[in-house]
Amino acid sequence: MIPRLLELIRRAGARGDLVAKQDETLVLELVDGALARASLLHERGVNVRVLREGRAGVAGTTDDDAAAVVAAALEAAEQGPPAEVELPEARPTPRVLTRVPRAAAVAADELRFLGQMVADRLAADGRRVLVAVEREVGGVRIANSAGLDAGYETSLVAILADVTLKEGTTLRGHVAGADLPEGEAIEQLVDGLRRRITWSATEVAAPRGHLPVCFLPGAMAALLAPARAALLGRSALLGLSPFAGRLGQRGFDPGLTLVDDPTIDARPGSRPLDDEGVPSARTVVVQSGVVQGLLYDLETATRAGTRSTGHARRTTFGKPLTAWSNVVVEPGPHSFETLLSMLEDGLLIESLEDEGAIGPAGGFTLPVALGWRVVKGEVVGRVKGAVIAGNAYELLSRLRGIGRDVEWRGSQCLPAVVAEGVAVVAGG
Amino acid sequence: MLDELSEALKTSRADFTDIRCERAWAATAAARGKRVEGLTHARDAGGVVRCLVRGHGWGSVSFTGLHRLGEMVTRAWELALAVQADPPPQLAMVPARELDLARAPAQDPRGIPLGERRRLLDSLVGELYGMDRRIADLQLAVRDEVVERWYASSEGSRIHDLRSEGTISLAAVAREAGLTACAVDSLAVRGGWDALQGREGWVRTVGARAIALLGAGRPRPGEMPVVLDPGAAGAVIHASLAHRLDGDCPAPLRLGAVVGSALLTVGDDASASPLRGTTAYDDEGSPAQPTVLIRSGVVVARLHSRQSAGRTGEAPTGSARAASFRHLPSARVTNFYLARGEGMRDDLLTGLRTGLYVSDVRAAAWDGERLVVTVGEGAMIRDGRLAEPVRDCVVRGSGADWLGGIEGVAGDFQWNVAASRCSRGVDGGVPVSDGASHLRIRRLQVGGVTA
Repeated sequence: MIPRLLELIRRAGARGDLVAKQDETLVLELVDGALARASLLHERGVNVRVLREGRAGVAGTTDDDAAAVVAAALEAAEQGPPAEVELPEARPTPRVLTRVPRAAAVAADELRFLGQMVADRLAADGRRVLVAVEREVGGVRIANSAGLDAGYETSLVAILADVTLKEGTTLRGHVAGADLPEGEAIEQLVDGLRRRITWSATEVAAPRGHLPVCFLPGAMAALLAPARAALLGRSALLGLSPFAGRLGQRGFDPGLTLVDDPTIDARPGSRPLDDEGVPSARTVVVQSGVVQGLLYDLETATRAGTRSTGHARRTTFGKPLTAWSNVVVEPGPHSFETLLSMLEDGLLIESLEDEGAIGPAGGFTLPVALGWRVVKGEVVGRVKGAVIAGNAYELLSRLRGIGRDVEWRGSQCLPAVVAEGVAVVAGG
Repeated sequence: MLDELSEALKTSRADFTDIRCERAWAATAAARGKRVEGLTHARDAGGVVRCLVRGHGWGSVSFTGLHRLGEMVTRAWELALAVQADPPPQLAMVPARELDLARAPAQDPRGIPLGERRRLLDSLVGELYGMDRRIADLQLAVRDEVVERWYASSEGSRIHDLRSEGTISLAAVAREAGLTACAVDSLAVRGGWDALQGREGWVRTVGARAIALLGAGRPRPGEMPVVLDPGAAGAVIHASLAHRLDGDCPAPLRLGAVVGSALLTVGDDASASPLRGTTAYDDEGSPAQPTVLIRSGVVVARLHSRQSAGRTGEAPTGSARAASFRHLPSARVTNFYLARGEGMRDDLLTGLRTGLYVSDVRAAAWDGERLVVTVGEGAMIRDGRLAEPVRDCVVRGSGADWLGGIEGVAGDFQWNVAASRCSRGVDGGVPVSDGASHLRIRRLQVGGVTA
C-alpha cells in the first residue's frame, strides 16, 4: 500500500509523508492467579500528510482504501495551515533494539505462567490480586516523497499487577520492555508492592502546613509533566514555555539532569528514527539544572527556524505531534533511606489524582491518590484525603535530595526526589 | 454487512458468540489563538468478536478492517478455550432482537466539504476575539463524527445503528494587568452538520466567564455550606456514585445500602433524548432502559451487563457499553441524573449567612471514602445572595458529608450538554451526560488555593 500512497500523492502534484503502524497485542487477565479473560487486538493504520502549495493536510485510516485517504488529506491541505516542511531524505540510523525475538515468539502459556508467578508472590488472605500480562508484536514503517522508506519491528511485554487490600485500597505495579522481564525486574515489582502493602497497614492523619515531601517515581512523573511540555518547541512558539529565550540558563535544581533517549535498547520509547523519519539521537535537555535546548518535530522546527531533533510522534489519526521518547532523569547520590531521613514530618507520595491537571504554568492543587506519612524518616501509615498544592517548576528548582535508585515507569526512568516546603492544604 | 456477521457466526463452535463492527468517520478543525492548527480526516473501521465457552470463559479478538470475520471467530474461540474463569461466566437472558435504526442525519457531515469547518472555526475564533480586548488566547476544536454500527449474536440478535454528533471544545484565556484566567467548556450535540451552527452565543458565554474570573479571589478556608449549580451537581453525583453503581465494578454498592439523605434519588436514563448517552440498545444487544438506582437515599438497583446480571441474579439493565470496537463492554452509565426536587436556586441560598457557590468543577476525585472537588469557578454566598466571584479552590468531605449532607435539591433540572466521557480503568471513555438541579450541601471543607 505504501508505494501506491506515495504515487497518489505525487500524481496530485504534492509532496507528502506517511507512517504505517501495525501490531498484535495479546492480553491475559488473571484474577487471583486464574486466567479469567484472554483477548487479542489487531491494529493496523496509516497516517498520511500531504503538502501542497505551502499548506499541510492530514488524514488517517484503518481501512485499506488508499485513494480515499490521500483524497481526504488533499482536501484537508486546501484549507489547512501554512506549512513549509522539508521532508528528510534517507540517512543512517543508530542501531536500537526494538524487538527481541524470544519475546515476540513466546507462547501464550509462558506468558500466563509469568503472570501466575507474580500473582502467587502477592497472594494473601483478604487480598484480591489482578495481573494482566500483555505482549505486543508490531512494526512501524515511515516513507516520504523525498525517497525515505525505513522501518523497524517492535515487541513489548508488560505486566500490570493490581493488589486490592481488605479495606479497599488498590496498589499498582508495572513493568514493561521489549524483552521478557528478567527475574530482577519481577522481584523489583513484587518487592515494591509488598513494601507499599506494609506501609498501608495503618491509616494516620496527614500533617498540615509547608512540609517536605518525597515524591516516588510515579509522582515525580506527574511533577515533571509540565516541564516536559514546556521543553517542547511547540510550547515556546505558543508563548507558553518559561524556558523560551532562556537556553543556557538555570531552570531547575543543579542536581537535575534530564535526557531524552530513544537509543536505549528495548524500552517502550526506544526507536531508531522518529515518525517523520529523522534519525534518533540522545538529547540532553537539561544538564545540571541548565536548559540546553528544546525538542522539535519538522513543523515546529521550521516555524522556529531550527532543525528537528527527531521527536515527532504520529498515531493513525491526527496531525504529527512533538513527543518525548524515553525520559531519563539521571540518578542522584542518595539512598532511599537517606531521602526518607530528610523528612522530619512529611509525606511520601506515590501518585496524585488527576495528574494531567498540572497546566503549563505549573500551579496545582491535587488530591493525593496514594501517600504515606513519614515521621523522623520512618513511614508511619497511609494518609487518605490529603491535598497538596504548589508549583511544579518551583519544586523542581530546589530539590533537597535526588535518589540513586531509578525505576522505569513505562518509558520514563526516574528516581525518587525530596522537595521542601510543599503546601499540604488538607489533611485526612 | 449484517449478513456477513451472521455468516461468520455460523462458523463458531462456542456456546455464545457475538460480533460488533463499526465504521467511523470524523473531521476535525482546530485553532490555537488566531492560528489554524490543522484540519484532519479520520476513517476508522473494525470489529470485535467475543466467544464464551462453557467451563472456560471469554475469549475475544478485536481488529481493524472489516475482513476475515470467520478467522477472527476461530481465534476468539481458541482464546476462550485457554481460559479457566472461576466462577464461570453466566449470561442473563435477554430477548433476541432485529432492528435497523440507522438513519443518516438530514445534513450528513460526510457530505459537507472540509472548507465549511474551516469557515465555522474562523467565525468562532473571530467571535471570541471580537467580544473583548482582554481575550488573549484560545484553544478551539470543531469536530463532527458519524459512527455506523452492526451487531449480531449467535442468539439471533441483528442490530444496525448510526450515531452522528458534533462537538465544540473551547478553552478561553483572558488577561489583564498581569492576571490570567481561563474558562474551559465543551458542547456536544447529536445530529448532523446543522447541529453545530449558531453557536456564537455559547462561545461568548465561555469568553465572558474567563473575563469574569480575572476579578475572582480565593475563598477563606473553612467549613461552610456549599450550593452547586446543575452542572457542578451533576459532576459531583457522577464522581461519587456512578462507578459504584456499575454491577461489574470491583466493589459495587450493596442493594439496600443507605448512601445519602432522603433527598437523594438517582437514576440512569438511556432513553432521555437526544443526549450523549442516549441509545436504544447497549453494546451487547440488550434493550437500554431507564433505571432508578437510588431512591430517597437507598440503593434499589444497579447497572448491569448480561454477565453481571447473570452473576448477581438481578435484572439486566442494558448497560453494557464499550468505548469502541477496541474495547470490551462493561456495565456503565448512559445519561446519569439526580432527580429534581422543588423550588429554584434562590430558595437554596435563602438563610445562608456565608457559603460557597460552585459553578464549574475542573476535577472530582473519589478515593473510596472521600470526594475532593477542584473548583474552577464560583462565588461566595453572603446573606442569602451570590456575592464576589471566586476561583481555584478545593472542596472536600467524606461520602456522608456530601451525600448525607444534601439538604436541598431545586426543581431547575438540566442535562449537561458538555462532551463528557466516563472512563473506568482501561475500559476506555464512553460518551455520557449528567443531569441535575441546584443542590445544597450542609457543610464541607473549603480550602486549598493554587500556588
